[in-house]
Amino acid sequence: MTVLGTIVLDIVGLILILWLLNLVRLGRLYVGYGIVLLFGIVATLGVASVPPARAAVFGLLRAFFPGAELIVVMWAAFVLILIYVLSQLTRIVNRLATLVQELALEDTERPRGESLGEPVEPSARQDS
Amino acid sequence: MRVLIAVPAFNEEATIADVIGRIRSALPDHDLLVVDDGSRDATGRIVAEQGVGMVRHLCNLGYGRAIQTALLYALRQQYDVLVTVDADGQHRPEQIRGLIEALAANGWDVCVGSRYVRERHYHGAPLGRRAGMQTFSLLVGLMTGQRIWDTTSGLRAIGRSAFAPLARWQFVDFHAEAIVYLLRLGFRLGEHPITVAERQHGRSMYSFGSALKYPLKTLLMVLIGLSHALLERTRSSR
Repeated sequence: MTVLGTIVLDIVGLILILWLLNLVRLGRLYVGYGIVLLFGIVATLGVASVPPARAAVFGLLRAFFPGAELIVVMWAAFVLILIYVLSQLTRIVNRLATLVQELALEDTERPRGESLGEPVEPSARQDS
Repeated sequence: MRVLIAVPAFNEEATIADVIGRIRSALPDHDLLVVDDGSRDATGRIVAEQGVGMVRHLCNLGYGRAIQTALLYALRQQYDVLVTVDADGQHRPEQIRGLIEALAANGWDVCVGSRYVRERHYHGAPLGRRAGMQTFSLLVGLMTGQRIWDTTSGLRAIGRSAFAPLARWQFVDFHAEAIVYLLRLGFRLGEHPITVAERQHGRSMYSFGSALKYPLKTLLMVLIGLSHALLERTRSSR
């Protein structure tokens, strides 16, 4: 990869990082996903910007896959799709959480004896 | 002044009755609300038997969302102050009155019950936690110009002015990220010294895995909270 190629890659990575941070800020990407993706992007940029590290990774890729350059393109597409899917997932989770909160608040304001019912089995994500 | 004491609880059947009893005897003149965050144990039943106000999430949403629900409730019911108390029995309800008085006397928007502001030292805490608290306290100081010694305290008195900004944005734990966000928006925060008891039952909400994730999540949220507050200020000044 040429010096110009490395600079372009770094700029693209930086734009991707800023986009991710903005998605987290707007509540469209869960902060936990954001951290994993940030680490992935920073690690990729680190490897791509340091020639010996880049040569080692490409050497390893070529040993297993003949079309290593295509894998890089596939990797970039995969990251973009991952961000999109996780962002959509976060939006659904946020809407669900808002719905649960609204139901809970409405249920509290409802006269006694008209409860919405018992809590359901909690989801896989349990933070508190 | 209408004060609401909110207790977010998730699987706290061993302590919740005692916590409710102690809050009631220490503060009989204030309203009490338990936010049952989708507990799978008997927490909800125990709270219902005590005849205390309860908001019940149908599933577990996490601590930040439970606090947000309490904020929304306080906002809609037009309370003047919301006090958050942990359900594990570590906080001493007799210290809440001091917290509310400090909030009113100093004209603060939020008063944090602080374990460390008096001595300005992190004695007693395990090394990892101590390092984390020191780091985030310094970070808050650097970003806002005001050192907050106890950024992880769950005992807080929040004035009505801070309800809406806290309820409308996503916080992970309402810790350093909320403090930076509010201070950068121009709200006034202060600390009032408190003491806490050792946890008698159950486990902390911070497992080994979350102890690794927590600093990263909070650091990212602090940076985002800072930029979000700066953007909001720029927008509102236009």
